[in-house]
Amino acid sequence: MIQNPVLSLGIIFILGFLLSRLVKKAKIPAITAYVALGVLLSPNLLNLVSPDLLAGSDFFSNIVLGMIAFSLGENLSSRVFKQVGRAVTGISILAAIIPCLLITVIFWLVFKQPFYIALVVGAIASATDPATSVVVTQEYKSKGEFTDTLLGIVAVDDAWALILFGLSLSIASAFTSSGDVASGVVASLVKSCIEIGLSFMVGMLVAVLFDKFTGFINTVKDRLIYTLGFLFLVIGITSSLNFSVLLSCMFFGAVLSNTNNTSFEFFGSLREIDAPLYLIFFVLAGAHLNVAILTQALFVTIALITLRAIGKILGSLCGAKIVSAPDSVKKYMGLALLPQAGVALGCALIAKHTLNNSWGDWILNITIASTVVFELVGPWITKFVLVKVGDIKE
Amino acid sequence: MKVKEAMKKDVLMVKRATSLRGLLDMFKDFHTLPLIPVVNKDNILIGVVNSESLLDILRPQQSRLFRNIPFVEVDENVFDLDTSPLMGELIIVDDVMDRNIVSVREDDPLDKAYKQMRLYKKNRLPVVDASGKLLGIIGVFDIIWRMFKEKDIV
Repeated sequence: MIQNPVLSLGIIFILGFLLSRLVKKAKIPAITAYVALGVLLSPNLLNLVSPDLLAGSDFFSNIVLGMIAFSLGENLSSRVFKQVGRAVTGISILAAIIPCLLITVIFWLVFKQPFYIALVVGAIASATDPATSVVVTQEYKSKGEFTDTLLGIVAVDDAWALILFGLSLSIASAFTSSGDVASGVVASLVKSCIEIGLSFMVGMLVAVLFDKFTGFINTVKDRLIYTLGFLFLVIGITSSLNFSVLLSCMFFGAVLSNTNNTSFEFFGSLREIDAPLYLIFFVLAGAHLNVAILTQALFVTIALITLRAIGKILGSLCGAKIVSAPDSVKKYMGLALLPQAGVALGCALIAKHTLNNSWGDWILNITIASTVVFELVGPWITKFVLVKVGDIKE
Repeated sequence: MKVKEAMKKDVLMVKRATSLRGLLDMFKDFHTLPLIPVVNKDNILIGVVNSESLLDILRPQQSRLFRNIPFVEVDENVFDLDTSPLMGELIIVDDVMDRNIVSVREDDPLDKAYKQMRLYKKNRLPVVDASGKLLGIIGVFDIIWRMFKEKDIV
């Protein structure tokens, strides 16, 4: 048991560094290693995460997910959509929405979970993992139409996932805070719609303000401080007013990316400092894993994994049919979109803190379990698909 | 002191239709690729070519999109990137150039140009007029040289 949070941070960073070196040889993604480290250091096992740090994971997850949402907002620009193309954008939207709908409906009607919980689980499942797709395509020199379509989809689909999650969570928190669920359906929906609208407004207003004063930035350090300052402003305003941190940060990023010519520099400056924040974030996510909850939810987790796979395959098929994509995309894109990682875990951690009840823990635990499964098998499936469609020449 | 007093007007530039081979030939005697401005027929600056953008063409088409996406870290070996001899003619400057241009105006004070270089981590910046027409290039050494001259060292 370690009480001092700084000592705990030191241990986490050094072990995280060593472990990420080790797993690299085994071709396991670093995120999986960090989550595993979190599980290992959690109160259940080695107990090396200080209680203060564990209690502060709300603080970290707000900042980190705000940063993720802001960065993903960069790709919601006319320039990117022009590059990616209308067809790919269409597939990416359906490949995000259909798994979300499928899981929501089955969890709600078949497994009899509350509607808003099913909705949150569904939205989290729509996220994918661009890192796996990029690494696999690059490592095996995958080239061709399928590869270009896949990379185009994963460049934008986590943005859709975050939007779905932001909307779902807003509805879920309106439901949980209204107490009597049955009487408050309409009121909850109205409340969440207002919150969502206001979240967008905050993002947009801060982006306008941001753009006004960039002339005062003189150095690289200034730029980082300036960017972080405005980002914290958005996160702080929205989280203290209980709006959606994700939607406002993403909108902030999207408006900035569409209006400021040098916006890439601001997004780039965050990349200089994000690595340690992500490390601590994923370790804390892992440290929340609760074996008792997970054993109880084993069946649900297996169902979630299966439904997500079916949803991704169906979603890509529908999307590809609508935009008349090649047969290889119709047949195999869903499988290539199975890897899942950071965004899903981040959303689950946010859901845990926002819902602040046993459902939150339940969502986080089944998400961690399904993410680890998808992270481990995902790269192999992606490679298999790329070989099958002929983009990887063996 | 103004940018125009320190900038170099004699600039090597390319058109967007210049082939990759033509570009590489043109700069084969350079140790480091200078800032290469790309201009249209009216001499308006439309992009720049740098070493990083040359490597980008060897990467998958969409890889630029992932530059700022969280968690995407790729270690790559530049000797292992995918190439083909046909690329020399098939790829033109328009495919390679970076359209995110940071430039200065000829009437900007020198210290502003210096700050811009520090801020964008560049050693050279294109100099343009109000219409975006390329007038020259200013490098960090041009500024340092002017500064030494001011102090009567040269």
